[in-house]
Formats: sequence, C-alpha cells, structure tokens
Amino acid sequence: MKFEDIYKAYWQKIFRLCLGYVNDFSSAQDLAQETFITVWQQLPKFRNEAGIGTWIFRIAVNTCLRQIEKEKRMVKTVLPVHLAEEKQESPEPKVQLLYQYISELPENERIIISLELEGIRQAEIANITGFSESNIRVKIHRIKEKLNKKFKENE
Amino acid sequence: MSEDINFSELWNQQPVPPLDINALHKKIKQLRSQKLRQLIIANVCLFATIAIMAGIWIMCRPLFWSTKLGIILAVLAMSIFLFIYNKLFPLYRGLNKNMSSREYFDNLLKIKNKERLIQTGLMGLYHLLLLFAIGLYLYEYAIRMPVIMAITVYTVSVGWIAFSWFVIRPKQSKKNNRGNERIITELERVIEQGDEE
Repeated sequence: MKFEDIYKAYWQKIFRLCLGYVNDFSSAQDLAQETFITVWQQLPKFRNEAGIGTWIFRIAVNTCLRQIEKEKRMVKTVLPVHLAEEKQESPEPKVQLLYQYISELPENERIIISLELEGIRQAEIANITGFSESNIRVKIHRIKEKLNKKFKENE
Repeated sequence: MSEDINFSELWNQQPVPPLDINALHKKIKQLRSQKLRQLIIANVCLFATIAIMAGIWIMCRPLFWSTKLGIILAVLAMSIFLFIYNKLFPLYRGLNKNMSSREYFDNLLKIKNKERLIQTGLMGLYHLLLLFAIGLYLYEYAIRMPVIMAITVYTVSVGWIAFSWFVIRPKQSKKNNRGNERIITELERVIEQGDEE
C-alpha cells in the first residue's frame, strides 16, 4: 500500500483519536502528523502481520501516550499561535463537550473509548492496546457510564 | 434524555483539518536536518576534546608514562561526559511504536529505569577517571616543582575534584534524574490504570 493512500484513508480517524486524547486542535494535528511520520519511516518494514489498520492505530496510540513525557513543553507552545484557528472548529457544543470529557479521562480510557467511537472492533482494540477483550468490554461499559453521567450533570 | 446520546455520531461530527501532504513532507525534512545537526554537534564536541588533548600531548612532550596515561584517561572521562550529555545510548533502538501499547509502555519503563542507572553510574565513573587523570598528569610536572608548590597544586586539583564530586555531581545527577523520575512515575501510573479490572 502506498503511503499517500494510507495517509488519505486514515488521516481523519487518527486526527480524531489524537483530539480525543489531548482536546486541543493544533496539538492533535501535531500528534497526527507525528504518527504519519512514524508510519512513513516504518512502512518499508511493515510485514502485514497485524493488518495495516491495527498497525497504524498502534503507532498513533503510542504516539499519544508518549505525550506524558512532553506535557510541560506542550502547554508552553500551543496557546498563542492557533487561537483563531481553534475558535472556528467544533460548531456543535455537544461535540466539544464529548471531546472535552474524553480528554479528562485517565490516559488508557481515553484511548479505548476513542477507538470504540471510531468504530474499531473490540477484538482489534484489545490487539492495539494489549489488554484482554473482556477487560476492554468492561472498560468501555464503564467509560460510557462515566460520559453519560458527565452529560447528565451538565444538563 | 442523556441515555439516548449517540456518542459515535457526536464523535464523527468533529471537523477534521484537511489533508496536507506538503506540511508532512516539510516536517519530515525538518526532523532529518535536526537529527543530523545533533549528530554533527556531538561529534564536533568529541573531536574538539580529543584534538585539545592531542595538542597538549604534542606541545608539552610528556616523558613519563603516567602523564600519557593521565591524558588518555582525561579524554575517556570527557568522552563519557559527552556521551551522557548527548544521550547517545542506543537504548531506544529496540522500541517500536507498532507494539501494543501495553508492551510499548512496559519496554519504555524498562528503558527509562536503565537510562537512570546508566546516567548515575557513568557520572561516577567520569569523576573517578578525572581524579586519576589529573593525579597522573600532574605527577611529571609536580616532581620538578618545589615541594610546597607541588603540594599546593595537588591540593587545589583534589579540592576541585572534591567540589565537583560533592557539589556539581549531585546537582547534575538530580537534574538528569528529575525528568526521568517524573516520566517513570507517570509510566507506572498509566500501566497500573490498565491493570484495574
């Protein structure tokens, strides 16, 4: 598969996953780009053992999780440049709230629910994250409960 | 009412920035030149240190083996320091982002712990080598000096090493480890999250 085709097919999905993780438009864009840079670097070594989707999502998830090393730096760089750009995104307040609530969850839960909402099968989520399928099922149920509760509190 | 919220539908309504392959290529190019720059700086520093030491060797023409050994140890010590400073350990080579996140984090945690141990160990080795290097290097010149002068030179040198060991080393080590400690704690926290059923 050509890199450009992968980029076209997965850009939206990866961007939403990153946005669910950081809830910041420009940081999500940076993370998504970083993911595709790794994809570009590693594509020649890809042997199709895991399926291209699982492979790309693993790279994206690990790129997002790696943010815990950079968190302090991020806060400094994001704010001033992209204020205007951020204003025009997310027209629907409920959408904004969903991404905000997800980004407030613990790191692993952010990843799991984002993959679930992206329509990834639970077996594949288990494969991407390394948790058991039953663990994923339980976690998804609990996370949805948490999100419902948050929406309720906001009404 | 909130029971009926369709999260997937909301999730997909999020606007996404357009594809920009040129920006991506630009970033790849930047990354490449950044890596190259780091490599050049590290190598220039290393070779400059060795060149200075070689210069001393040639200009001072040491006669004693102790002086020569002192110079070699000093080069070794400085190379170790540059190694730590530039984080040139090949520890990250085995870490692929295409592992499952659990596997990736377990490996990352192991690497961070190893990095912490190596940094502390190498800093100790650096000071020890430098102490021996200066002691050996000065010997040839000290025996030609009056006794008082030789004692003064050795006292000042050992004093400097002691200051570096007791004041600079703990500070440097603290600085190196501060970042690592925070990351290790964070990694452990995220790994624990996954273990909760």
